[in-house]
Amino acid sequence: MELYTSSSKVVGKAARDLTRGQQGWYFSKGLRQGLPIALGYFPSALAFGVMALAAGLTPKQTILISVLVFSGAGQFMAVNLLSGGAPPLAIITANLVVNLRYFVMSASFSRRLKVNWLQAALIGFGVTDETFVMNYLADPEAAESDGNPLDDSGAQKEKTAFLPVSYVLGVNSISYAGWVLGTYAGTLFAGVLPDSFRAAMGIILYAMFIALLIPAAAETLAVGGVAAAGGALCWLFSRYLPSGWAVVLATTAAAAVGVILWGKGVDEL
Amino acid sequence: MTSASFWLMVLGMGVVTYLPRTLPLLLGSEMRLPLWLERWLKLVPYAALGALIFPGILTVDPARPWIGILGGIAAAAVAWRWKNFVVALIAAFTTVYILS
Repeated sequence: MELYTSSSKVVGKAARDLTRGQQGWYFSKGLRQGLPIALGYFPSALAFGVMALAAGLTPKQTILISVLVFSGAGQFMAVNLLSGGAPPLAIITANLVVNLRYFVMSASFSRRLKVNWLQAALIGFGVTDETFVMNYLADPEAAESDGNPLDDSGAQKEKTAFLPVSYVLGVNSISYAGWVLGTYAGTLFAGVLPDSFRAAMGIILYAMFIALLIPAAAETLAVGGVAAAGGALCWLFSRYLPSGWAVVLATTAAAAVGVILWGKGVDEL
Repeated sequence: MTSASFWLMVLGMGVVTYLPRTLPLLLGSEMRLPLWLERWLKLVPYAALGALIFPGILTVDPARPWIGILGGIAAAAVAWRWKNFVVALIAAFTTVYILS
């Protein structure tokens, strides 16, 4: 409840029309609707914790990364590159490239928000692929019995109403909690997991990337094409370059190829 | 990894993760980008996913690259059929665990 207390003290004009009680109601509604995200994050973060220790980080360092960064793909990639001996600068650059997608998400998210700079600073920290989708498509006014906030009718509906800041903070904070607690659990259990189990965890990162990619690729030709180009170019570049830089270059080039080849086809994304 | 380079890495990661998330919210919905840049930004995540998946997935078990491929196919099949994130992770994990 810490976020709620602090946000209710500092809110500016956007939340002026909400009473403290309404803010609390929206915050707890956000917590409830964000719970599935937290449950999904927990095992992924656990895998991150295990892999980070295997890459030579201490438990303290590992938890600190999850607390300060809060980005699944970026953190997994960092640990992956670390165990390959990549220098910090390559890891940071690779992170920047992967995180550019957040820029796009936040830009479209901002259409549903009316916030002052402090609220933007708080909400921004919690923007992930999953919280963005949940917040952007969810209808906080929907009755609890409506069940899935992401049902098709909701997704089709034009989203014009501004979201209550406390609702967004609720969704974001429970997701963050799931991520940090999962990381902590990973550092606790890393030692007791059998070797075979730990080896199989290497696939989790790739499964996560694939699960993010497939639904979009099935819908839009440009997505599948650009991803295929990214993989092919990365394979080519990684024969001459360290893997961190190969990822960065392949991403930049493949997205440019996509703009040239599909142009208008990208706009429907 | 020395403590100094670890801190540099975490700080850098924190900044390059936080800024792309927060800047558009601070700038508000007034922000307009040139069309080509908007298209490029939209495609970057998918290009990055492709580059991250391949050839990295071959190194899940470096001695037997096909294990990573089969795990990836399991994840793709579940993600395509049921669109469920967690189940896709479990399917891939189970596949690799059984094979190795």
